Amino acid sequence: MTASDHLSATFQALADPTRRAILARLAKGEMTVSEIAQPFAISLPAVSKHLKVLERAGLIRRGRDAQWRPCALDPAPLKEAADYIEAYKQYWSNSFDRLDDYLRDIQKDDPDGRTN
Amino acid sequence: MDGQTDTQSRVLTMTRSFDAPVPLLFKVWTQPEHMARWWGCAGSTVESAVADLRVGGTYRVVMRLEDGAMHRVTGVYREIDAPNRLSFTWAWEDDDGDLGHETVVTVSFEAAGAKTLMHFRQAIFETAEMCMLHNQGWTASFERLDDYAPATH
Repeated sequence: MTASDHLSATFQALADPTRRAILARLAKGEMTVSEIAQPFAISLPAVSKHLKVLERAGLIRRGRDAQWRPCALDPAPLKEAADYIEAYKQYWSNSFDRLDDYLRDIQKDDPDGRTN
Repeated sequence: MDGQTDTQSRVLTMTRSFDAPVPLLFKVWTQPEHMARWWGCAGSTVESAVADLRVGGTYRVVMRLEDGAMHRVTGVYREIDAPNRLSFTWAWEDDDGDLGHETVVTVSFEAAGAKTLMHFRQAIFETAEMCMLHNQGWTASFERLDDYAPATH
């Protein structure tokens, strides 16, 4: 997967309220699937499906023990997503500085701002 | 003033005042020959810019960085209300022509005397939590994420 694919997977995984709630539960520590499922009014298979999406996005890690497979939160992709907005903020700030200069330049010769 | 992240919303928002009238702002945002003069980060130059300014029309800007690397951004116009408001999708294109994570940019221009107040929004986050994650430390964020998630209560 490329960096942007990873990011798409992260955002896609976070788009669902149940998956966000699952992540919030895992923020408290490692849990088994049935522990995770406890507060939700959905079936275990449905929870497993959500866990698979979260695992694919790299948002959680699962243990090797086939029976218990405890889940734990992996914050790295979330950090990557947060870095993403910071990068955009920098990007646009830079562009707007350039825009500021450019507007000044083009209006110098054309004080009415009728520049084409 | 410079950009700020709105902690309460789902989007990156920035507000900035420019010493130019509203129609000129709209023009430099929508006409390729003007876009080519300011799009991109510091030290980059625009190699080419095309824009089919109609709803559903596409734009594409190719930028060259100082180290020679080429960056391409492309998207589709969603809303055009000249000279006040403009909205388009935004995605980086890789060397194979595949698009990365798509966001939506909306800019609106408000006259403030001879100046223009530009309101910029980029919907990067699909959830408010993502903004919180950005603004708080990780631990605090997860606590808030917990509070925010209704299914846990």
